[in-house]
Amino acid sequence: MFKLTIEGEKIIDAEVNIGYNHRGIEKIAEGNTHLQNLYLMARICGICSATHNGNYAQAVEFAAEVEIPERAKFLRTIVWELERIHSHLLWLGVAFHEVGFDTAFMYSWRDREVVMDMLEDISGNRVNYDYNTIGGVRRDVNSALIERMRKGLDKLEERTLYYRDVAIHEKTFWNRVDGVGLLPTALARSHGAVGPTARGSNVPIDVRFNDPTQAYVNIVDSGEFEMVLSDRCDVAGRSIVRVQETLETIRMIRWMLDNLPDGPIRERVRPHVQPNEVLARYEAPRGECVHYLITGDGAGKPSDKPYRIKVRAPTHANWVSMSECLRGNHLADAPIILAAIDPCFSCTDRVVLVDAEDQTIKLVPLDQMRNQANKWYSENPRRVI
Amino acid sequence: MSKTDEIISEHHEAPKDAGYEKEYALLERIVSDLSDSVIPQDSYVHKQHHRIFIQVIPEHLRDVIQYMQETHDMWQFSTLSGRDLGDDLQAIYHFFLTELKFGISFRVNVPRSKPEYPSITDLVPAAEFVENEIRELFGIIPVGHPNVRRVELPENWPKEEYPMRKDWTDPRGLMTRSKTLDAKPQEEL
Repeated sequence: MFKLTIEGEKIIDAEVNIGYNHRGIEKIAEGNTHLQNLYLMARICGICSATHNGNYAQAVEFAAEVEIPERAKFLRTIVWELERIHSHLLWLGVAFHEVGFDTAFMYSWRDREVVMDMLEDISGNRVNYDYNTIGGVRRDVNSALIERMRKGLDKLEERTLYYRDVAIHEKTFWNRVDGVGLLPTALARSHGAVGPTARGSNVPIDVRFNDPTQAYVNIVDSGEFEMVLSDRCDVAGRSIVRVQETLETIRMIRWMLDNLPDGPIRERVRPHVQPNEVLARYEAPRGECVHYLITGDGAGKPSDKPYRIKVRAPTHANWVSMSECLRGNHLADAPIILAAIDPCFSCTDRVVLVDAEDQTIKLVPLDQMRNQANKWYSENPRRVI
Repeated sequence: MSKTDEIISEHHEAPKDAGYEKEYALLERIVSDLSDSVIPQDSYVHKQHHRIFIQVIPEHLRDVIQYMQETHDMWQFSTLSGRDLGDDLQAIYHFFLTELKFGISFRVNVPRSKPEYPSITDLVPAAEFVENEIRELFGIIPVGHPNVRRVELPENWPKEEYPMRKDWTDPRGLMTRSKTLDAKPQEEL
């Protein structure tokens, strides 16, 4: 629930409450074995399930000090990058929807089905892929599947280029995001923004390049890829970073398919892991995901359960800068600013509006607020000078 | 795994000569500059590449963070995690040194009877949410936090119950009611 204090149409103060969604996953994980936890972690988020699943797997591998086969590293990274395409296309659709451009929303979600089908093809599931296992991945790919993936990537590239043009040249969208929700570089740094939110504010943090693991090491070494940054600092900057990153990701997957090594896809790892503490980082579609894992039983003996696992999901880091982002903007801009960090919350979340003059409180569902915002903008078109 | 009774330390120290020179150089500089604030025998460079763990005396935590910000340009804050050590509780601040590509963690141990240490939210604004979180889940109190409020647990959660501590006994049977832990009994199906 967000508490926005408004003066007329201006937001003068914003408070972010995460709401009642604590599921106690870290506590449940302490009682499960590492293998069970892989599937529990995948269910932290339905959109970035390969993120948590894969990051937990690599954390356990770091702790057990095992090196997984090269092919497994590449396959794991391919699924991670496919997930990034699906997440960014999903975000683009949501952003179009938030500004009332529903035609583009329908189109981009239709094309997202292409990448969902590719994920189903490679892992067996459309969501919650559970593709990773401790010591490698669960399924191999064959040449027919690679051919199908290449076809899908061609289609995706063509459509993403089209959406890039739509996002930049279509005034319906651009006028609603240009200069909205400013997050200056210094603020993004001090308030710990991550992912496209930070990169849209020209903060160069991307774990894929800063601290590469798995096949990202090979990708960075190839020198063909660069971090996508924008110095616009507004919602438009965050949109450009996401669209551009999708194109970069498609190139990365092609590169990985070209250079896919042969060999086994899985290394056996003993279920009991030595006591160790590791900090595993991975760049999720929304930003950096950190798993801090302590293995062993807490008394110096190997154990098949984690002693403590701390999960820092990227949206949690982006909340802190959210209130700074909202302050000073029009109320009608609040839905798109909230959507711009690509948050994971149910669309039934409420917004509390507090009138600064008489302190009256109004509880507004988010979809009602979106409709009001779009209506307000149809009556008061924004003039960008 | 071996059936011997030997106790394996969690601190897997990196060898001093094989590719960890930068990490050791940084650790030695920090330890020599802040000799009265850090505990050198518990600070080490981890075998996993680019990871440094530093044990800090709780009262000096703010000095250490300030020194790191001024001298080593440390601005990327990641998260704060808590840990139950039995007699002590531990708070671990994870930072990243973006230019050097290091992960650096500062740990403070506080006694269970009086789990307090100075808050760093005014130095690192990004720590606001997570410092409230550790107060709720572990009962570790960052003293001087500017905006104390409940962020994670439900509003009706009892005040003196900290669910992430190892001695939390689950008085209301929340964990056993959870569908993720067990199959439903036959009669409920």
